[in-house]
Amino acid sequence: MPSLPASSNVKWSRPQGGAIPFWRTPRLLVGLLIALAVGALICELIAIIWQAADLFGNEQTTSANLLHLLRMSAIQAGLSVLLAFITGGIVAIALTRLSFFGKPLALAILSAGLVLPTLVVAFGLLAIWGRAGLINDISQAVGLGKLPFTIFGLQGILAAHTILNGSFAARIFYDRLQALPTASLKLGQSLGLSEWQRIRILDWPVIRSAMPGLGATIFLMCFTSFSIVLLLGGGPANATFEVAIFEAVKLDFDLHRAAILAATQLGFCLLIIIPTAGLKSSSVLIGAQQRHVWQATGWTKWTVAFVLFVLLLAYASPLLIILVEGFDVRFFTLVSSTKFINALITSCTIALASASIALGAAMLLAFARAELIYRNASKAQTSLLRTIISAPIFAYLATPAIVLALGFFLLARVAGLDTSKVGIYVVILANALLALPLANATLGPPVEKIANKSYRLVKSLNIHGWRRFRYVELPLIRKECAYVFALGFSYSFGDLGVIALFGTDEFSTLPWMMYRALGAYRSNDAAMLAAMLLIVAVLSFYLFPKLLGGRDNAHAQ
Amino acid sequence: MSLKNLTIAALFSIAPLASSAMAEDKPTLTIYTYDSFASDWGPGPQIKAGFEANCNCVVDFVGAEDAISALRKAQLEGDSTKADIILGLDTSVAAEAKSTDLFANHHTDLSAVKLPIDYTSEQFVPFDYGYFAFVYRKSDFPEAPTSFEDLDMADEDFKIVIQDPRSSTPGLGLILWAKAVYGSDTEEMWPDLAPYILTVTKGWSEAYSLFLDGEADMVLSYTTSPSYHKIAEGDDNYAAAIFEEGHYAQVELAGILKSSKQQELAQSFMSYLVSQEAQKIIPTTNWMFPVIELEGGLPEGFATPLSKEQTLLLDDETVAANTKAYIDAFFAGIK
Repeated sequence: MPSLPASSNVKWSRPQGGAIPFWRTPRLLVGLLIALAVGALICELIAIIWQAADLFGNEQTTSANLLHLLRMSAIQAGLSVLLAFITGGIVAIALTRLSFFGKPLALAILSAGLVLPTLVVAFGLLAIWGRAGLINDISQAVGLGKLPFTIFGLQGILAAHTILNGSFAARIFYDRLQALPTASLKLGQSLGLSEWQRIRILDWPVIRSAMPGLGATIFLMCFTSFSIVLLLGGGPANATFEVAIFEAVKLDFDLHRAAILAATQLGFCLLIIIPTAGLKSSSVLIGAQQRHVWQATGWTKWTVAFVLFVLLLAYASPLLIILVEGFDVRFFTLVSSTKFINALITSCTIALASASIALGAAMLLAFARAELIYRNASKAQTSLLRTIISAPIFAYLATPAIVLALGFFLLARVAGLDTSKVGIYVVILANALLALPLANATLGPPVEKIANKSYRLVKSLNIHGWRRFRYVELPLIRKECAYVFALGFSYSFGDLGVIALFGTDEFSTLPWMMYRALGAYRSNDAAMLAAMLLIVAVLSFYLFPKLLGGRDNAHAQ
Repeated sequence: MSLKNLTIAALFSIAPLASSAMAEDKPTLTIYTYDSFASDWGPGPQIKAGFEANCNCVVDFVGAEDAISALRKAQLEGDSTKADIILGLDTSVAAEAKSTDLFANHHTDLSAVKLPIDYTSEQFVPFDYGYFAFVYRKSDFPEAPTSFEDLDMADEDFKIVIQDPRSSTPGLGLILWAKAVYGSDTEEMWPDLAPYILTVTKGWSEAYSLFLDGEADMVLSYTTSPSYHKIAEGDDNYAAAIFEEGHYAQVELAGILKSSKQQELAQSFMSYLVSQEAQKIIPTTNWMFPVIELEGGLPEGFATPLSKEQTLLLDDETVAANTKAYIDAFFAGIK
């Protein structure tokens, strides 16, 4: 329908509406309730630790220089976001310019880094760039000597974070770019836009609209990245806030301080997140999955191909080497063992349940925000309600795992539940909440764009509720939903951080099995399990879109 | 309950899961411990089977992330805790554990126990011990460092990897080791060591993996670590650098909770824990030294305990009172 090439210079002129009564808008109400429930849960988890501090624990001194730690973490996370955006943007744009054999596999690998346990990726990075890594080996073999730099230090942390998050950003940006209407592309092509004009007029507005949610998510994941920072940090200068909380909870058992530290980290992160949560995506361009590829030609094509190759190699090599290192003759013995199969079943159970919850919640939240557009809410109300709906879902990511573990444990006890039995439910809920910001960053922009584009149609035809979901929204977001499910599935494959206190003898997941192997000198088993996790992740990014995503061109315009 | 049932129950039911122990009439002895003790590779399963053979009871090992988490968990649960025993605490947190006033006297006959240092406690039963040490590859160093000072004279490229004393037992062990060797001069020693520290990891696993992957020349671990490579992998290339100054010992302890309603059963477990049968399991599952002299000696290829003169240990109270200051000095020193 839209035959205009861009949104940045031509806006749909729409009269600003007045305040809408949100209590008579079910979608908005549901979204608000979910967001407030998540927010309330986090507050409750911290509050209950504060309360418990009066009953248990020690009175102690203050801990390390907090401002210093906050500043260091914020700088590191900010740089990580920047690098993820730059590399992710370049990869995404390059991918739209080329079609090549193995592109679906490349796309599946792009998201895999993010969902693996971070330690696995860090060790993959070392296997390539470390002192005993592949590049050093090759360089020494051909007589060039050792690499002149070390991967340990801030550069290592940033590199690992860029691999994890840059590839995710590339995937999200690419999906947004794929939603550019064929008509706009064809028009641009016939007008003979230069490569630079194409980026500025067509690509940039689309990419920019995905940035707020994505940036906030990446920022938080890097801010709270505990094991990577300590592994690659090269010393205590790069210590994180989380270690200070670790110390307060475990060594000192000073629960007041733990609660204060957790609240400080949460407050600081939200201070950075909230301004972006209210931002509205302005682009009106939307289309179904498109078949039209506007390919680059001539020398541009070769430049793009080269850049893409280098960046994809940088993203993928630390993952591919995990496969190589996990290849072992005992692989089949391991994967056929009862222990492995049991862990796999538990992991799948947790992942299916968490992914369903995360997807459901992310959809409801996205619909709630879209409702503001359909109802033509006033600017002030839109901004306020958007913030209330968006900000709390980041709270989980901004709270240290050990505090969540402690909070859930205390909460279960206060609720009179047997803590040795509720572990699995807590893990499911926790993993769903962990995956929610990612799901939200993926699903939010497309749903809002549908609203931006079709609100007149919806209004004039009076399509509401279920029918709007079934006939307007679902066909256009089905692919994204399938991706979100795959993301949630592999991301939730078994992070057990939150049940540190619940007792884990009754069940084991694949990542947990891997950590146990590492802790028992069994590094070969750990390498095989890491490879297995990667295979599961890539498979899920390949299979779920096929199973749930519908036919590629279904309901295309 | 089998895992399959558990997952099915988790999928289809929101009702609390039935406990395996409830189905049986035997009393259950619940032991909180660190995860790797309870895991399949650790001593847990064998010790459970061994004790269950004679006790007419069920042993339930509950693994927490680490021993200190197990203690904190029991503290939070208070009198209603299911735990009868906490197993895996060590000498560096013993005083802190004692001050919680949660532990009863163990009344266990420890006459057979032979430790390289004097350690007696009314509350805690030692069940294994080890020494912190730097582990290296023999092929890298024909002549290993034999003292902390040797470390200072290494090449610029020489890298060691250590653990954060706030989150890792060996990490804390190094701080106490240095204190035991250098006393008040420790603060001057850290800056000398700083250039050689590759990184300070959260836990032992990450540090040891960095070492195995060749990223570091040495790793802070135990004198018994090379035994694993030798016995389980048949690889003789690993060794622990033995320092002239001596090595700091870690003695692992188990204690009975006052709140336990099965004091006698718990006490008989303690006796079992220091028996020949249980101690024989320790070396090749927990890779630590047994606390009694084994009939037939240590397994072939296993490290030998150090002499009394080579063994260092600060007393519990000193450690409890000063740990925080030691840690602060360490971080200030290696900045």
